[in-house]
Amino acid sequence: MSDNIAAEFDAETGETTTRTMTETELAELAATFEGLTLGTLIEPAETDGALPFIETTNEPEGGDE
Amino acid sequence: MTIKPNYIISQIPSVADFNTFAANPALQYITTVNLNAVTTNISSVFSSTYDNYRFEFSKIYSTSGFVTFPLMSFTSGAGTAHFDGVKSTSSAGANSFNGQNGSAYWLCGYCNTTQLDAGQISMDIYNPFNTKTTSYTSKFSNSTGGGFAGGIVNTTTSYTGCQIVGLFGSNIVGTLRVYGYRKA
Repeated sequence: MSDNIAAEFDAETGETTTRTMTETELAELAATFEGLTLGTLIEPAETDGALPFIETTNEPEGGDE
Repeated sequence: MTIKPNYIISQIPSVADFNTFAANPALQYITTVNLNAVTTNISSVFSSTYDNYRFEFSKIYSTSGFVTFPLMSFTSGAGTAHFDGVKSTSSAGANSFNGQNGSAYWLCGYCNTTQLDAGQISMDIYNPFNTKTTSYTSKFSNSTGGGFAGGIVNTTTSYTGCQIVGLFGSNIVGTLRVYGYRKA
């Protein structure tokens, strides 16, 4: 499967056309993401795509020796 | 749809009545878009027929090898893009745009990287065609998490279409069905 495809879908006709994006279009698209803040997005490499979870402990406080 | 007075026990709704009800569901089907691209420009999808729309993304994932986000911007005429100061906020566990402001795009949901982990997004869009502030709410999930998102476009521009974009140029795969909310 080839990446960098742009699709045009006309909702009136239901027809789709596809083409490979030009270097200029890719550069323009990349520019729209410059400065984008991802908040608390976890890097995919850190989680292998899975949402991390918060580890909790369930150790008793005090108690019998 | 003509609304009749309440039926009483002795009245039997006619076939025409049933046909009228069947032809006028609250959500009316508009179109299906098979997504498999970095950018998918959907033209002529918003009109005066409806004020509000439901976008149902199903079996959606990314083939670009990393967890990503399908984003949305709006268009008018022949695909002219508008980047109108979107404000979007979501809560999706750790994978979220918390407090994202001033972006060119709305956050629709998020995608995993395999078809096995594909998810779904249910998104309501309010007043994209009307010259009112366009806003949305979205809920989404997949095999590893889920959450909610919402936001506005900070203008009253009338839009006739939209563009689905994969964050950082990622390829988005899935099926998008578009419905309109019947006005009356």
